[in-house]
Amino acid sequence: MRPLSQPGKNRQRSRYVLLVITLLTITIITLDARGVPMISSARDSSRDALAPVRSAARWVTTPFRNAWNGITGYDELREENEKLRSELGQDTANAMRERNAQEELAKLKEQLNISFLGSTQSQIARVTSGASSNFSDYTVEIDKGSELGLAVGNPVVTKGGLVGRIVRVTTKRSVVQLITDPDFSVGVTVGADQNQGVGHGTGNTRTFIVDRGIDLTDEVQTKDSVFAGGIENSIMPPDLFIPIGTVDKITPDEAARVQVLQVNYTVQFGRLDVVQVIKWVPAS
Amino acid sequence: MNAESTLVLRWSLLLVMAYLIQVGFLQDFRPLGVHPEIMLLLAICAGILGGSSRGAIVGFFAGLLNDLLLSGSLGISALCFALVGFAAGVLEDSVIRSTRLISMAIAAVGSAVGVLMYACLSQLLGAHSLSDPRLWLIITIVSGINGVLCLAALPLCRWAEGLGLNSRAY
Repeated sequence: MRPLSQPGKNRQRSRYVLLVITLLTITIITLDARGVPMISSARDSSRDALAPVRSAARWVTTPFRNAWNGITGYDELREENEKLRSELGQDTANAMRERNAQEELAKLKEQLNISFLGSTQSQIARVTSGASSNFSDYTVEIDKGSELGLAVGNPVVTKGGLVGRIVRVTTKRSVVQLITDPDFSVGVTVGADQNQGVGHGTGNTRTFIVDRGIDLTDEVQTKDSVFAGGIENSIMPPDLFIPIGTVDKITPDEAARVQVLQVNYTVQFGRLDVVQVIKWVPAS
Repeated sequence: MNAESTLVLRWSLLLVMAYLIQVGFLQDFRPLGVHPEIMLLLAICAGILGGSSRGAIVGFFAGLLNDLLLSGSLGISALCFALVGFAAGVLEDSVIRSTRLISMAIAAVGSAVGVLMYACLSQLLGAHSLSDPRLWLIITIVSGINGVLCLAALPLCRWAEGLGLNSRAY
């Protein structure tokens, strides 16, 4: 039990402390919400300073994390183990290391040869961590920041298509808002007729919805490709056609006089590793 | 070094340690996709052992560190953790004879309230936390794990509070 001391005085002090802390936090929340540069830069500097600490902590705890992943992914691990055992006779450790390096290289090369990028300036980056919150977060962190010319608004892509856009940049890291976020709206071009509409994420990693701009008379079919970009004054580059996915289902909305398109993503969000950031910012 | 400085130093050390465990390991330790919130647990334990002001102060700093991990508004966790730490202290004060079970119950209930409060405030600031279909699952798992983890966290907080690791204070 805590030592007892003047309860009245203590209670008064506690209330005073709580009042000060509450006011302080409300001030911080308000300043952050209004985008006051001092708060943003303090936050960004702290994130930058803590990034190596986080990396080091993750490195130190790798065996524990691996053990946990081993427990939770026991079936997968057993399958993988059997596969590895059968491979062991054929491959030496060196050959495996070389293959690993080649796979890594292939991943990077794959990102270098993205056909839809053309000669647009871009930067390869690696996803360092996923969502940190228990609640739906729809963001990932990448290991490149403003020191390499990245800026808020830059689109982020993989060979599969659009991943999202940068919403926060520090010197060495950036935070990417994923296209799966229900708040992520983007102008899209659909099908061979290049019908233009607006779509948004739905919160899951499978479906994107286009629910504005595609009239009932527009010709759209399932399997048609959906692209971001190709539209003036959009948050995506007007001269690029970045794939989002293919139309899976078309539902006419008679009340709004539009067709609602359910689109399957071409990007596999569960396997995000190396991404490419397009060095382009929207006009506004 | 005087007693006040030692107290600050010990709590700071504990906060940093908890933060490293949270980012290094617990972010990936996700039973049913939910990870424990030991920064929130630390605020509650500080309230239980050091009283309501200690709970509020430790909760504020633990929350600020937690906010740096998240993409939401800065200060939301700080406010929630401070309020929960304070409430844990008030609750503990109202208990005539504290037991391990009561401390576990306070940690579990405090964690549930903390997560719910975070969800409400985030929703007010434009996130979709309150409408997250996993809200009740998150609350249940976080409060359950924190209730159990408080048995390990309390001795460490006792050390930070200067009560000694073997003290019988809960």
